[in-house]
Amino acid sequence: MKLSLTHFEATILFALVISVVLGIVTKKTDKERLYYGLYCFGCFMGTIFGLAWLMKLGHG
Amino acid sequence: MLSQVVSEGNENLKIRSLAVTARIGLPLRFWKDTPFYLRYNEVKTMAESQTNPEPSVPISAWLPAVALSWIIPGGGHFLLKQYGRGAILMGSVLLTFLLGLLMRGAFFEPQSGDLLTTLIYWGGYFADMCSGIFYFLAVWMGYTQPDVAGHVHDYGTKFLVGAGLMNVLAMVDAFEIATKKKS
Repeated sequence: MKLSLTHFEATILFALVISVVLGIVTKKTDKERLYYGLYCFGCFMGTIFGLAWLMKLGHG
Repeated sequence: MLSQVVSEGNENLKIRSLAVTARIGLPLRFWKDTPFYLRYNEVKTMAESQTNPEPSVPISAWLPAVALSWIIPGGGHFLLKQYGRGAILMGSVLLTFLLGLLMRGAFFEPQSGDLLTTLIYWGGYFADMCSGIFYFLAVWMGYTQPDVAGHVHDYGTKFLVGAGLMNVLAMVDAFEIATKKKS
């Protein structure tokens, strides 16, 4: 069995899991953890879409 | 008579000590006005105010939690009665590791060569091993995957390394909880 994910799916999954872990280990209260996890996920999304557009525009 | 002699002796001693103080004190006062001394004094005061001696935590307080966190991701948190966090960390590391295996990612093998090669392969090897029991089980059960071209394999390799690095974060978190730096 082999899982075949696209670039987008793989990066989304990785961003999701790492955001959860960063939120859990970095902050002290549950509310702060939730907000920080969402913030990290947002940053990942911004980076993914930003870099994707940059590469698309760079390649023409 | 005796008291007069003693009193005169004391006066002489006082005058002599004043003379010595004047000889040494004048350059000392001058030195204390220089910017070098003022800066030295400022830095010294700052360092003294920032020095906050924390009581050292015995190794027995944190080593079991950190070691268990490495062997079983999230296990250290369970030991420290942080069940929710432990379960989430274990689930996250396990999910990432399983996705890495399902994408047929390759484990890094130690390799030496130029500095970059050594750094990448040894670093990847240690990061893979940080997944603890998941890594050892996969190796013991005969999982092998050659490093082949293709974005899915490549992502798989990164997921396997990422799982180990996440567990390093979990180990640091367990250490901080065990040493009471975090609740």
